[in-house]
Order: sequence, then structure tokens, then C-alpha cells
Amino acid sequence: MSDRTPWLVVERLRKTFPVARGMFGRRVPLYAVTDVSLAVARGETLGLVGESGSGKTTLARCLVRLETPDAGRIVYDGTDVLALGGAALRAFRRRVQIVFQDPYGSLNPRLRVGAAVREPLEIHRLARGQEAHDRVAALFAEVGLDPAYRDRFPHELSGGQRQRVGIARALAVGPECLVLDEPVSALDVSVQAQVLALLRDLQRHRGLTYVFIAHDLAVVRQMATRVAVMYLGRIVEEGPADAVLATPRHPYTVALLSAVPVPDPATQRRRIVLPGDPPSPLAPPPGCPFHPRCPHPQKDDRCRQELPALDEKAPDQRARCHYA
Amino acid sequence: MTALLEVRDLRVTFRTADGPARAVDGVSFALAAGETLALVGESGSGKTVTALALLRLLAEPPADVDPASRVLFEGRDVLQLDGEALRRVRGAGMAMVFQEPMTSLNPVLSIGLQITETVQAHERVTRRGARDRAADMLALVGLPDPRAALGRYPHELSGGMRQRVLLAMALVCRPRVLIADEPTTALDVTVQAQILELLAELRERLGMAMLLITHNLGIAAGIADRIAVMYGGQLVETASRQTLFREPRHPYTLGLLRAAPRLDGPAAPTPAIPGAVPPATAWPTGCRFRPRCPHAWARCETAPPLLEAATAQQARCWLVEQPGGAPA
Amino acid sequence: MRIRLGLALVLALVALALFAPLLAPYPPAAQLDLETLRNVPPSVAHPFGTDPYSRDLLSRVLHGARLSLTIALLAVALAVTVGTAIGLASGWAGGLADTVLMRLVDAGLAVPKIFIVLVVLALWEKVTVVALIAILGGTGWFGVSRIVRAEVRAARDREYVAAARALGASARRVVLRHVLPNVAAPVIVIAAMGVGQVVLLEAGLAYLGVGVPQPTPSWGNIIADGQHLLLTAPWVATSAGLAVVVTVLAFSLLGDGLREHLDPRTR
Repeated sequence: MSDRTPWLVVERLRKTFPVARGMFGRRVPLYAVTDVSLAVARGETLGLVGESGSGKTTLARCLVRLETPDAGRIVYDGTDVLALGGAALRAFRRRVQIVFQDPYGSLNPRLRVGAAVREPLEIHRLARGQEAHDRVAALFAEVGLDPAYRDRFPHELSGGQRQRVGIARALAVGPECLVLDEPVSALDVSVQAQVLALLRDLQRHRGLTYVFIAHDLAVVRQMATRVAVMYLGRIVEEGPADAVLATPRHPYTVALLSAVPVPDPATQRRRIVLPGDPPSPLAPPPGCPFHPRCPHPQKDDRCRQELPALDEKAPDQRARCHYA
Repeated sequence: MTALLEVRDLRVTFRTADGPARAVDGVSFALAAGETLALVGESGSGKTVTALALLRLLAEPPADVDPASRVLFEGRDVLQLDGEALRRVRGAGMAMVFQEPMTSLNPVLSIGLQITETVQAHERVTRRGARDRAADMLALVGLPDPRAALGRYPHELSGGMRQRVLLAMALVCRPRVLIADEPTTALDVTVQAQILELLAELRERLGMAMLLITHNLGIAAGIADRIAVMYGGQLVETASRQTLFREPRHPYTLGLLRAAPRLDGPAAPTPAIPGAVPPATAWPTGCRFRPRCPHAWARCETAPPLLEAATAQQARCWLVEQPGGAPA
Repeated sequence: MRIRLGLALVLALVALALFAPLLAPYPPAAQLDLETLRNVPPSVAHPFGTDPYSRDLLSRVLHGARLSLTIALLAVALAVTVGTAIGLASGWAGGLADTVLMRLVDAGLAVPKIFIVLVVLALWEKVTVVALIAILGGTGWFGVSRIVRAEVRAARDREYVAAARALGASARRVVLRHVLPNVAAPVIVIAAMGVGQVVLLEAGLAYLGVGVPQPTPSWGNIIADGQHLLLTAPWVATSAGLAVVVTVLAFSLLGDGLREHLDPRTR
């Protein structure tokens, strides 16, 4: 459906946060995102998958310049995003927008939802007065909300309605690309399907490019054309969604897929239960970041000492594993 | 099969600014010794309120449990107990684990102290004996180096480890029923898999019955013997897990099954259930699922009772009696 | 409900102060009759009684309201403005500026306020009302800035602030539209409580003899006049004391009511 001409390119992105430790507040780095490289083509959906602490949310915030990476490059449609400032940065914000996981937290509780959707129009001086009023009504209609809700406060709406407001707000500036940070994980299953359907419709009608972040692989499977799996700040597997989810190469992806409960007692698969917890991003293990939990039979000293490269293991499918 | 726990016509109403909210409205079910029943529903279905009511953990007011409701544990009505008798049932008879492992543990007390306290509250044991029991329990739930773990504090543990500690605390007095309210929802998928595995294993080893509250049909499919689906404060379908997934008889169950994205089968978009769960202060008249139901017809203006759909399967839907639905 | 009662009381107090010259039966400083009218208990002719200089206490309390309320309101306005500005700057900027400002505030909070006020007033030759307002306001902002800073730090990490930044909102807009309104509630509450406190402080200063000079009436110096007569003529101190109590209560009610009214979640 889309040619693979890269539209959004991330090169060796790195972001650490200083964290105070101990009595004297010694600062140690938390490795949130380490050497992440990605390419997203126009109109496609990249699914970014990982558990908590994998760095997927930090990466999302870097993409929309809410965080400034320590190193690396982000190139969007040929422009170096990290070099932008002032008017150019404001122009970039009209092209790439973000939708947050928790629409309750991302909407100002003191602002009526109509005013929240109108705000981006004011910021970018896109419309005022009656025209702005009409634009807000049109945006409400586009995301499937009754425009009469514009005078309500966020707490007066249901979770699904709030997330529709969050989406309308991001759409107000007419973006080409949306970074969706776990947009449905706070919602109930029946409502989740409604919001996913809305996102698909919007993508089709507006020709949007999505970076879709989620921990739920089944949701990603529905939405994504490509998938990148993150573990402890690094991408461990990346490729076309069908290939990665049907024939995963990295032992972590395999375990992650097998851990998802299937709503069918007839096809209860054998779960691969990984031991332990993901290691702390304050002290990532040497070698392959996954080696302490890796169930791969060939795991050896090489895994403990040498970081595997993200190599092509199948056509267009790359995995960071010595033995995959 | 005699029931270990039997709930009869449980009704819980909350006083709210918008009028009375009938959060749980006539729920009845039974749990046999060693059996696992999953109570499945979305937010606002009343599943958590049901769980809390069983142990009398709701603050009254604002909650108000109907005096005609019965929660019979080993034949005695928990709702009529108080003081010492109630305390004995909690913990030693029925124990509960909650969704949020961080907030369910006291951050300023060591793990060991919190578990031994539970033991000493229910049994006459020495402090040393209680510590031994606590360490054994931590070993049972798979905490590495249980002796050392006794001296640690909740914030030093990961989410998965904290949930194990909560399980140890709930199980240390060998309850006959474990009520688990969304025990894995706050956890990552790989850690969730560990805890589910552990729950299944503990159930076998300790021979206890389990009431699992979850919104995730996949989790219910993996661990439950029977499943009860809740909607609008009522049970809308109960069946064995095989039957429920193979032949769901309530349109809501079917809708939920179809809406859940899954990894097996085609990657096609899943159909949503239109609309949203109505607030408990304003349930629709007649069948509560009627406004969202694709099959709703005139008869649904009368509220259906739970109807026998097949052996050991009940559904709160007129389609059970009239499979064709509305006469054409 | 509470907000209405509080507002009604505050408006009534302000009206009484404004129209004091029309309402007061006597000039506030007039010594009516030093022979017969000293320390007369409350009666029909003198509803609040008279003081040791045979002045009518009702007239003095009414006129005192003008000065006491003016000082309190302006001092609190000054404290809240300075405190909010410094708290906002400190909380939003963070880093070194934050550290320096907050250490300064710590120092200010550590020294007893009455001590600072006394030292500064001792340097003044004659205490004017403006000086009093400046000194009471100038020493009253430490607590406000602390609370504003804490609220700003909390608001800065809220996701809706990130959302506004991602939309391209300027720092000015983020602060004015998304941070300040969420800081307003606690500030309004402290401000309302602060009015009562400043009235009390002014009374304390008058008692120590460094307040508004006689014979101009303020609630403070009326209480000061009456404090050594508490056993023989309790109505002297009580008259202004009651006025202080009603004022503190009125502003507390208003503050509490406003806080609830300002939060859309409890409306």
C-alpha cells in the first residue's frame, strides 16, 4: 500500500535521564532510549511495542520534541527536527501531533472540552470567532462526538469520549502524522474497538501516518503495517507486521507473543513464561540486554558479553540476536 | 456438589449526587470447593463491587447492601457477621488480592512484618513461628531468597514481586476461597504470564476455590472452570468456559468476544459494540443491554430473567426462548 | 452556600467601612465627657459602650474598619502578587534560580515575622499607613511563594501541560492558561485566610505601640486600649475583637467557598 520511501527517519537516537541516587543525590544516568534507528514511510503505521521501562514512551516524546535527545537525529520529510526552533518548530508541530494514553490526564480539568479543541486553532492562529466555533463543531463530528458536548468538562465524559476529544485536539492543526501513545489501553474492550475504528477511518480519509505505541500486541496486529519491538531502550526486532507477529525471530518477541492470553479455551497455546522482571534501565546488563531472561537454548557467554547487532534475519525483518 | 460460597440475590446501591446507583442488582452464584469462577465484565459492570461486598469491604454509607442479600460461606451468612466472627472469615476463610500491588501494601512496613501480622491476627503463634510461616509462604509464591525478602520494603520490589507478596499475604492463613480482583491488570504481559501460572499452580497445591475478577476474556479462558459475564450490575450469562466460548447465548458475551483483538485468526479489525455502558444511576428499562443490542425487539422492553439455555448454561436474554428473535 | 454567606459577610463589612462616617453616631476621636462617660458599658446610647477616653466604641470600630480592612486587603494583595510571581518564576525556571529563591524564602520563614516587622518599623520615624501595608505585605509572601512553587512543579509534570507544549503553545500561554488557573485555588484560599491574619498582626503591632498612631482608630489600637481593662471594662477590647473574629470568619468562608466553586469537579 505504501512505498518504503522513508518519511520519518530516526537515527541512533539516545536519551538518558539523570536520576538522583543515595543520600548525597549522586546522579546516575537512566538509559531510556539507546541507539534507536527507525524509518517510517508516508501513510503507513509503525507499531512500537514494549513493556513498561522499554523506552517506547520516551521515544514518542522525542519524536514530537517534548524531550530533547542526547544524541542522534530525527528527520521528518527531509528536515532535521532536532535543529528546529522558533517559527520552524511551531510549523513542525502543525505537521506532527501526539495523542496521549490517558485522556483524563492530558486534558486540563478546568477547561471545557470545546475550549480544549479550540486552543490549537488559537495557538496557530488558524481560525477565530465564529469560524473557530464551526471548526470545533466539525472536528467533534469527525471524531464521532455530539458537538453539544463542547460545553462539558473532561470529568463529565466517559473514557472513550475523552479520548475522542484528545484525538480531535490533535487533529485541529491538520497534522500529517500522529504519534499515538497507547491511545486505547485505558479503555474497555468494547469501546477500544470503537476508537480503533475511528483511528482507521481518520487515517484513510486524511492520509495520516501513524506511530502507534502499545503494549497490547493484538491491538498492534490490527493497526500496524510495520512493527518494532523495544526492550530496555533498544529495538530488538523490526519488520513488516505480518512477518514479525507470525514468525518472530527474537526470543523476546516469541515469549511476548506467547504470553498474550487467547480468548479461546480450545487453542490454549503453551506459554513461554520468562523468569524474572525486566532489568532496571539504571543498570542495563552487559552484552545482550535480554540475556538474563532469555530462554534460547544456545544462550552462551557471547550473549553475556557482546551486544548483538540488529541484523536482517529474513527479508526486511531484523532482530538483535546472535542466534535467531 | 455443595457450594462452599453461595451468593443469593446480592444488591448494592450507592447514594450519589445523581440519585441511587444500583451498582449490583440481584447477583446470585455459587462456588464449589476447589472450583475457579471468573467474573468477567467491563468497567461499570459491578464486578469489583460484588467482590468487595462478599468480604464486607464496602464503606457503608455511601454503599448500601440490601438486607435481603445473602452471602453464605460454609453455610453462614457473612453479611450478618461482625466483630470477631467477621474477622475470622476474612483472611482465614476468604482472602482477597487487589489490582494495584503498590497501594495495597503499606510502604513504611517491611514485607515480613506485614505478613506475620496477618498470621498473628488469625492464629496463636509465636513471632518466630509467624516469621517461619511468612518465609515459607514467600518461597511458595516464588520470591527468590525469601528469608532476606522478609526485611525488605515494598518500594524495593518490582510490580510482579509485589503482587507475589500480596498473594503470600492472602494465602498465609490457608483460606478456602481466594478472591482475586484483576490481579494482573497493572502488570506487563510477561509478568502477567508468571502470575497466572503461579495462581494456577497454587490453586492445585492448596486446593482452594478461586473467584477471579477480570475484564480480560483471554485470562478467564486460560484459568477458569466456569465464567459469569456481568453487565449493568447483573449476571447476563453463566456457563462452563468451553460452552461460553463455543456457544455464547447472550449478545453481549458474543459482542465482547468479537470486539477483543486477538493474535490467532485473521488480523482484520474487530467489530465494536456501539454506545457505552450506561451509568448505574440510569439503567435502561427492560433488558439493560437493549440500547446497544443488535437483536433488540419489542419483547426486550420487559426485563428478561436468567433463562436456562443449556445444561449448566444460563443467559439473561429472550433469544433463549425465541431463537429467531422478532417475528418477521 | 458557604460562598454566599462568606461573600455576604465580606460585602457587609466593606459597606460598613465605606459608610462609616454616615453610620457612626459620633466622631471617632471625640472625647464625649471625660467626667461621666469613661468606660460606660454597652447601652442604648452607646451600643458597644465607651473607652477610657469617653469615646464611643461603635463609632471607633466602624471607623477602625476602614483602616484595618484597607491595610489587610492591600497587604494581602501585595503578598499574593509578590508570592505568586516569585513562586511561578521559581517553579517554572527550576535549577539555580529556584534554589536561590527558595533558600531566601526559607530564611524569611525561619525568622519570626513580628521580629522583622518590629526591626523595620523601628527604622521608620513615623509609621504611616503606606509603610504598614508595605511591611506587612513585604513579609507576608514567603508562604504564598512556597505553595505556588509546589503547585507549579506539580502542574509542570502534568500530561496536559505536555499536551499544550506539543501543540506549540508558548511558555507564556502554558503558564497563564494551564498552570496558573490550577494554582489559583490554593492561592485564593491562603489569601482569604491571610486577610484575617493580617488584621490580627496589625492588632498585635498596635498593642506593642508600633501600629497606627492614636487617635486614629484601628481595630488594633482599640484592642490595645482595652487590654489592660479586660477585667474592669471587657467591652472595650471585645468590641474590636468581635469585629476581627467576624472578619476572619467571613474571609475563611469566602476562601473555602471559592475553592469549591473554582474546582469544576466539585461543582
